[in-house]
Amino acid sequence: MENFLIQLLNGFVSGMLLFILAAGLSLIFGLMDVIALTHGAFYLLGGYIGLTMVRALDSFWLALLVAPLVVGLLGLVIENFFIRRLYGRARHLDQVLLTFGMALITIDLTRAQWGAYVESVSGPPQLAGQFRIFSVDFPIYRLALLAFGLLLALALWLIINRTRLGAIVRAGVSDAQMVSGLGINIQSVFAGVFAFGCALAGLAGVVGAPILSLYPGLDSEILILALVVVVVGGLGTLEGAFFGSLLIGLADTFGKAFIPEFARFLIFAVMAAVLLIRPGGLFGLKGADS
Amino acid sequence: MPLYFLADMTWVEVAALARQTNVALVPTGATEAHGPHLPLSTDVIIALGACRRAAERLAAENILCAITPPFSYAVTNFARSVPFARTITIPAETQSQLVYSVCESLAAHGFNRIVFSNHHLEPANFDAIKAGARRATDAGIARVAVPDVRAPRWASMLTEEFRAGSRHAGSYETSLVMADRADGDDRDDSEGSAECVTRSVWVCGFYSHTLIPSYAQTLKGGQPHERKTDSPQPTNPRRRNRMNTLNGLTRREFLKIAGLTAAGATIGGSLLSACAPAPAVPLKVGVLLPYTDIYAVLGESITAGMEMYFDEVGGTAGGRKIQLIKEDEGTAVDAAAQKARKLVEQDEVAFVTGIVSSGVLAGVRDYFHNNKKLLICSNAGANSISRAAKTPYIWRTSFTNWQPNWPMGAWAFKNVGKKAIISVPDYGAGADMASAFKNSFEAAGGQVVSLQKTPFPNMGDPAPFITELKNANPDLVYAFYSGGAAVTFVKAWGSFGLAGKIPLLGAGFMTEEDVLPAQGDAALGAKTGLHWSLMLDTAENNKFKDAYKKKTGKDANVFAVTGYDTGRVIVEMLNKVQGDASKVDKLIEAIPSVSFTGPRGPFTLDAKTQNPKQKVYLREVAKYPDGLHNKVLQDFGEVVDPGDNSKG
Repeated sequence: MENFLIQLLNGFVSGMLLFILAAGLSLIFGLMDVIALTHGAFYLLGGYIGLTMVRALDSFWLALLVAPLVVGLLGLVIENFFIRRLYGRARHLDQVLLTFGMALITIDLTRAQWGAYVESVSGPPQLAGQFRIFSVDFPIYRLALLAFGLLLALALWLIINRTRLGAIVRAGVSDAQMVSGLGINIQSVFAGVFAFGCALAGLAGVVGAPILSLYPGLDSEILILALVVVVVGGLGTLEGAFFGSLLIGLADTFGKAFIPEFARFLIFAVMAAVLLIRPGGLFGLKGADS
Repeated sequence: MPLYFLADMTWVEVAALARQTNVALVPTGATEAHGPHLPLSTDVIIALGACRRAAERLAAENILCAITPPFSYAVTNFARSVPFARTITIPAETQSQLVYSVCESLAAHGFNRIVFSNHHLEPANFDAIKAGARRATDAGIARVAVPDVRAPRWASMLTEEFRAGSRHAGSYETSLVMADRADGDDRDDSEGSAECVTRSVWVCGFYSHTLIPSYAQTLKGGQPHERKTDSPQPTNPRRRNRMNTLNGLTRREFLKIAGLTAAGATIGGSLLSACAPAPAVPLKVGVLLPYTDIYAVLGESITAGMEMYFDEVGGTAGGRKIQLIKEDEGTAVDAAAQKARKLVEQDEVAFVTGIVSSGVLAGVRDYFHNNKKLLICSNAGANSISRAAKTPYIWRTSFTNWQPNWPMGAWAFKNVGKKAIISVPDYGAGADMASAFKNSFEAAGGQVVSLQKTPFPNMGDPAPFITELKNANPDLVYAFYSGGAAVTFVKAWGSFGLAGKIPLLGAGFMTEEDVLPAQGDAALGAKTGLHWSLMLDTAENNKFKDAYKKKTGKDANVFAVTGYDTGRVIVEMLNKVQGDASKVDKLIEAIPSVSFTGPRGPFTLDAKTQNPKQKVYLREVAKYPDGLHNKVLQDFGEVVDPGDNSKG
């Protein structure tokens, strides 16, 4: 029983980590209908920037601030010069090709800058050590990560559903021309959303680095995980991303703990099952019909 | 010496000639623009020149040849796309049909050994001629060969310019035309350009010579001349001809002619650079290592180590410069297998070295075995390659997965505890390593409580596994991870507070120098077995690690050591065969005698398992002034793979 509860906790932590990884991708897709395959690469880039900050200034908190800023800025530039040209095209293939190319370039550049060695970022000293739960010393950093994920989800939900900015963005998705007609610069709203989504990827890179390390190839692992979460949750809804993350996190954890031989395929089995029952994903609004 | 140009002979003379020989040479060229400096008939001139010289050579060996009038029109598709004035082209079908019909006629008059000497090198034209020739051969009319100067084995005798593909109207063709014209009327002293021609001739002559082994036999053995046509071969007869080529012409004859052409080059003087004697051709070695993705550091380290050794010996072995052709192994087996094929078939490397992943090694094993190509494996430790799947063509300079783990089992039982859990990634190498430890641990009296298999290659969040290990509370945990997974696993081990509480043992790759800095203090105290440690205090190792650090700015790791030793094995093997890597059997014969004392200690290759006999050391992660390293606690002595699965 005790072991089960600890694994349940592991599952929630893992789910929140997944949510942090996938939130940016989900946001960009949900609000802008853009599939940003740069997500894994920006995750890795954010992690490496964090690594450099921690090494240079010895401050995890500063890294947590700077990495998303830099990656967000990069997102802004990319949106402004490249993604913008593809809005309104019916097919996603153009976006996929463009963002995949960007991802490859980003990965090669991080490789050139930070090398191929496995790197790791230490969490902040304030969150070092363990907190005793039953007989298990549970890492405090993981507990903090759980709280952070919940806060992030709440904040995003409030912004999108309860603020004027969120309303503009949602309106822009439904009818960009109409929103422009109301005197709102929809271009810059979209640019902001894209940059914010990228910044979230960078943030996830820093937050995830103490647990998942940093190495070439991690980008594609992250991208696949994020895509699975987004697909399971329902393409492009925040609620979907949140509950999809939890479902996948729990399935992955219990799979690893109790049927490790199948752990590798379990999350994909869950994804397949969800798609069979609800082709649009758990909270899917779109995708089922396209 | 008489030459027989059919166009200049009467039918009576031709009929007489046909009673003496059945060999005909057919020059083919084009009427095509060749820049502002060469005549339209350039290709025809070259083809005629080549045939004439080949006939001279062959006549010297008592083989007479008829030379037919040249083909002057060819498939020149370039003429259609580019407005080169005065280029005349014919359709491919026409060319092909013409070749067939000429063969048919020649054969009807007694010339059924026919060589087309084509010097309009456009692929479509070559293809058309070859198609016609094949039809004639397949129909049993004649044996027809179309030697292709573009083929690497012939092109390698020509100039760099030619090999690079600049074959039209450049110095290659210009020098040949000049040489041919100079022959006729002493206009200049471009005597030396004969070398180019003779090389070309040699290509042509080589083939015509070998086309007729049975005929040559007839001449020598005095058998009746009537035996003109062999019965057509059931399978591809052209291929059969080529096989004859290799067998028919002796090595001595080849060297004689090659010697003559080399001598010709020295006479030259005022000649175009195109005819300069080629320097000794570098020896191409294929390197297949991961330079991207999770194993990138391993590939980088092995390469750096290997190049370091090559640099130490001046980049040459057996008198030849070593040229490395690198391809990315990546992680996908199919893609890597394709790269191996590319190295062997397209780059024509002498042999291949590398391979980090056991999966890739298993995936390319059959290819090297079936094609009788040598692979010197510099990492992947799959046991099976030294056991059931052994092949004479794969030798290993690294280890078998069994080796570093076997001595650890007995030691762990004696010194650490009786109940162990093994945690390994769920793939071949993980299974090999786990099985070696389990066998020796249980043979000593210990008990492996459970075997934890984790997803490979992406472990994801390791927390569930660590929680299970903690929950089972064994006397020790034995693990094998490498690269990113090693860091993730050991970090989680530390963050859950297990470091120092449950002894962590494993295969040395888990705490090797490539991952230790990222693991940090979580790795402290982990004890592992491996065939090397940075802290191994021997003269050879100290020299190696200092040089490596100087070269790369990084601490050496076991992969760099293997790369370095691989470089040494390659160089010593090539020295033994004096740089002649053309015969794989000779290479394989030379390898097992390579033996030296290197950074890891005495290094010999076990002829039975085709894998090193080497010492394994017990190491413990400890703090040093410059960070964490593996302290050497004990020398387990020489460990040799058993060659079968009897010990795990």
